[in-house]
Amino acid sequence: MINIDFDNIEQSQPTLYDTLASDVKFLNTPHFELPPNANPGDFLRETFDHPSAPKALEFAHGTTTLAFVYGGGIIVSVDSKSTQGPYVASRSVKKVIEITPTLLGTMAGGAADCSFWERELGRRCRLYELRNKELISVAAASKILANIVYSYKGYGLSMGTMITGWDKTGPQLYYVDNDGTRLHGQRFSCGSGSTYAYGVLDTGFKWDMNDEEAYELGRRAVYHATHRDAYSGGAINVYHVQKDGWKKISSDDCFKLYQKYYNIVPINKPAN
Amino acid sequence: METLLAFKVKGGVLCLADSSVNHSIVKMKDDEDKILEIDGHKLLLSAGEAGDRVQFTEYISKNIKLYSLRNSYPMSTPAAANFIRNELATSIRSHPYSINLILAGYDKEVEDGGTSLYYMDYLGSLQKLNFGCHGYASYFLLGLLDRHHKCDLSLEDGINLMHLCTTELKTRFLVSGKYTLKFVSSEGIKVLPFNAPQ
Amino acid sequence: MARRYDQRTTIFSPEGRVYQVEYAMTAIRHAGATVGILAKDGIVLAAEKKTTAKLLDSSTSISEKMFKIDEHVVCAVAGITSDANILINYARLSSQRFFYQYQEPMPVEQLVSQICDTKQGYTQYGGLRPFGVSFLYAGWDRHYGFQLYQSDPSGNFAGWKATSIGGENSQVAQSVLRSNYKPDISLKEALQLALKVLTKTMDRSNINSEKLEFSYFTKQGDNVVYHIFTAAELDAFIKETDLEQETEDN
Repeated sequence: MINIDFDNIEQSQPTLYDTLASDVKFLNTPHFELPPNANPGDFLRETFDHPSAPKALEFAHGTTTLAFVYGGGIIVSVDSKSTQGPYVASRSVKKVIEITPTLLGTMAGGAADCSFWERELGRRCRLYELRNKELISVAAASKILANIVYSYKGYGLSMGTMITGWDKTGPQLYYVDNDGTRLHGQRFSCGSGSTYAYGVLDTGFKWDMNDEEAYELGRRAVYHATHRDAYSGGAINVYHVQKDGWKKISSDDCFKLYQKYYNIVPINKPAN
Repeated sequence: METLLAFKVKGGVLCLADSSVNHSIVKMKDDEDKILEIDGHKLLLSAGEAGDRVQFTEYISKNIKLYSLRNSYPMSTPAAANFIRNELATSIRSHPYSINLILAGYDKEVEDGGTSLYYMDYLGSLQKLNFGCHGYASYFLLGLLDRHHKCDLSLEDGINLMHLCTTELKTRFLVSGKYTLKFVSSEGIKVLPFNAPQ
Repeated sequence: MARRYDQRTTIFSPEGRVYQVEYAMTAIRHAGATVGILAKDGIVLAAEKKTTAKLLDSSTSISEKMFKIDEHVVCAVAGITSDANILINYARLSSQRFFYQYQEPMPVEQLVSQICDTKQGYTQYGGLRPFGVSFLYAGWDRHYGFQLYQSDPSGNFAGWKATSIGGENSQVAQSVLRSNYKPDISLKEALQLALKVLTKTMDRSNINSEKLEFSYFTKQGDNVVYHIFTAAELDAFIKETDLEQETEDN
């Protein structure tokens, strides 16, 4: 058993952290990943122990998510950063929620609210399928979600989501949020980075682009949003919805995309 | 920043509503239909809090549909107006719907040529009017309509008056966008093409 | 063994009957007959009074069997009056509630339908017994103009041109109505026909204002008017009609 006194790890003793970390690794026992801070105790106090601190465990408030319909189906593209106020809680969040094999949802706002209710939506969609022997329409699925969140209106749910899929009527895209809004449309973006993403998405959109161009548009739009919005970042995940269901296309780290788009050679790597 | 406008013309009521859905500074949609066709001769224009608008108008239209199914005749427009007002007034103390409405309809037994137009607000007030307007646009349009509106306007003149209104909004109102125009008369409901000045 | 199936309102007998409901209908036959006739310009409701005691102070209420539900609907009762009072009170409440919600008069059929839903409930949910009442409803609305409806303890109702409820001789009443009703009958003729029906079903010596109640619904301009005959009016009417009938017979 290794006891770590977080309060007594001081900046002046960087070796202690290093030693502990390597010891833990070396011992190969189950362990917590240590926070990458010199003094985690102080950090937690500074971040969470004051009146205007962000609510504990409210992740993913800053986000960029988008989805659009084009000739080849629907593209869903999202970032993967999760923040609690100024603290980056995670850089690898799955903000595309796989509701059913044919339906996708996106996550913006409260991560727990989105994952919980979209999972509940998945359950109801599956029940619908069993009872009616056919897949639920995207219109109906999004209406179920909108009705749920509307019934909790004013109780503090925080969700901004796009529900997409391909049903009898073709590719469909709905925007649903926590005040009960449910909109049908061709292009939506949601989260703190959405305005930046819209700028790229609206100007770069062409109905008859090919799939690769569409993926790149989705990726680019979120990338530029992560560049300007401090609360968005991490990796960019791109999904493609077609007649036979959704498919994950790519997951690219923003920094690598930055290097790629601007042809910047990493400092620790010699140019080739 | 939403706009609802309706006025009587000869034989019917012309209804105009803006068609954008905005969230803070973002325009989420510019082709939203805010004029609900309740039945063959009734139009319900709605504006207000996101979520409430669709939930309330759907609830109302489904209940009015149920009434017609149970009784095999449609609810009259005056009855519908009072029913809607009643629903708003009874919910305001418990679960208020923050929406403003205009109801327009045609029933052959109603006096004044069968057309009726009701103005309702989220507090549950109800007024029977010849023209009504909700939103900031009313500050620009009520004077204009006081000056130019007459109930015996032909449909064509009515549409011209609608253009006059949207042109004024374009000139003086900070926000303006696309609109939906519908007409209800003895012949039922017609969706009219309407191109607002760009 | 029928006894096993008549104690409750909510169970069928093996022959598929609900005895309590049938008993309720029988109870109604002991009441005086009530006749309703739909004319082209109004509706007539006429009834035989059964409870006429010398010392009964009839000045406290004009009518014993006719009740106004709203400005545009009245009903006539056959059966247990105390049961009827409950339903009439409910009908008045329904009508006012409708007006409160829609600010227009309740269409007659909706009103009848609501009361019948209540009656039906007592044939299915565990009550002690059904309402022992049949009604004739007369009313006017903008949808169907003048209307006459009949309802029974089972909760069934239907619209009629002319019908009767209660009375031991309901077959006679029905056949007199059938053979004398004309589609374009006037209110005056309808009043006379109602009197004729009651003359055939009652003891002839009882044809007077003591034993009869007459009322009618008609329109004056845009207003619906309901009128119950006073004793003097009724006696005058009977006298006049009897004379006419005699001349007709000649």
